[in-house]
Amino acid sequence: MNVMTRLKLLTGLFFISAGLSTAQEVGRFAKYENQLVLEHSGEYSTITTRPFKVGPLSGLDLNPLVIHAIDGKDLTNLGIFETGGFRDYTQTYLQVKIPFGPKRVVVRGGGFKTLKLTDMGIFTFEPQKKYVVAGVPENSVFYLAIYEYEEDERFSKMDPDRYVLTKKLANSIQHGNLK
Amino acid sequence: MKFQIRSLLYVVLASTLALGGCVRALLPTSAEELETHSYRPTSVTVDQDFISFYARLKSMHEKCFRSMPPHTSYSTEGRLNRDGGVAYVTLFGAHGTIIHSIKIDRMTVNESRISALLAKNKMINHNRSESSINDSMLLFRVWADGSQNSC
Repeated sequence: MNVMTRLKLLTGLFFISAGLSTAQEVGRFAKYENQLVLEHSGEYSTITTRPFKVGPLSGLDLNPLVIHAIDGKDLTNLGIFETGGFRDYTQTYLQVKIPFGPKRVVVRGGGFKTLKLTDMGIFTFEPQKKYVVAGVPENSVFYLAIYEYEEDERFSKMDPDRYVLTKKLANSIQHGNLK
Repeated sequence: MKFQIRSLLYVVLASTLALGGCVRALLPTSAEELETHSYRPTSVTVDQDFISFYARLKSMHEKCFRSMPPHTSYSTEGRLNRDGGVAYVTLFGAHGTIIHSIKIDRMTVNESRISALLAKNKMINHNRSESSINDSMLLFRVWADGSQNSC
């Protein structure tokens, strides 16, 4: 291995280990939240998922819920030439902006080691409303449902107690109905 | 060689299970056991609403007892009943044992009462002094009323 190759390798390792700065991270969060409304000038609503618990999560915790796809379009947390997107644990509380109207919502997470997808069906988003997908156990079965909510600012964004569910908007769907 | 590796694995597995069993035999593992094997510091009434109190107490628990050294197996569970006016913060230790459980009751809109159950050894009869028990309560109180933000 010659000197130039070693130098290139070391430079690469430096950038990989340096990670993302806070500003980059905030920019990525905004990009993730806005990805569905970039070509949409009208009003929008937002949807997020209620975390199961405050992190950091261990291997024995359920995978956090995240919005996986809207109307068949997978949400991504990576831009072109970007690697190492932020983790589901961060993504769970971000508020994805959705153009209003009926959309099919697919949610990911809620399993231990497996990828669990839940098709929430077609849900009509109304402009300027905030929605949350939350898990609710009913008769020992785990269901997901979409709610309107209010935020209690006294709790951190990663805390499930922050999301005060006010109105259930659709029937509960059994968790993991897609896979 | 294969036999030796398998024997070693059995020894490791058996000792892990034995250790877990010992710890679970010493400390309470359920709310019922905690009721019977616990120290009860004197309840304290504070001039704050119970949700703010609960939020701060929970976040301090998350900060000070999160799953990293030296508390690698610690975890915090919070239960909030907004309508019922009661909240619990429970700290779990290794192998599902309970270290302590704190209850916050709403007395009036701006007044709440905090009471705690601190786990007591189920097998060894060793009593903590009353002052050390009440010191724990004092710590919970200063965490929750926001006058101390360090662990």
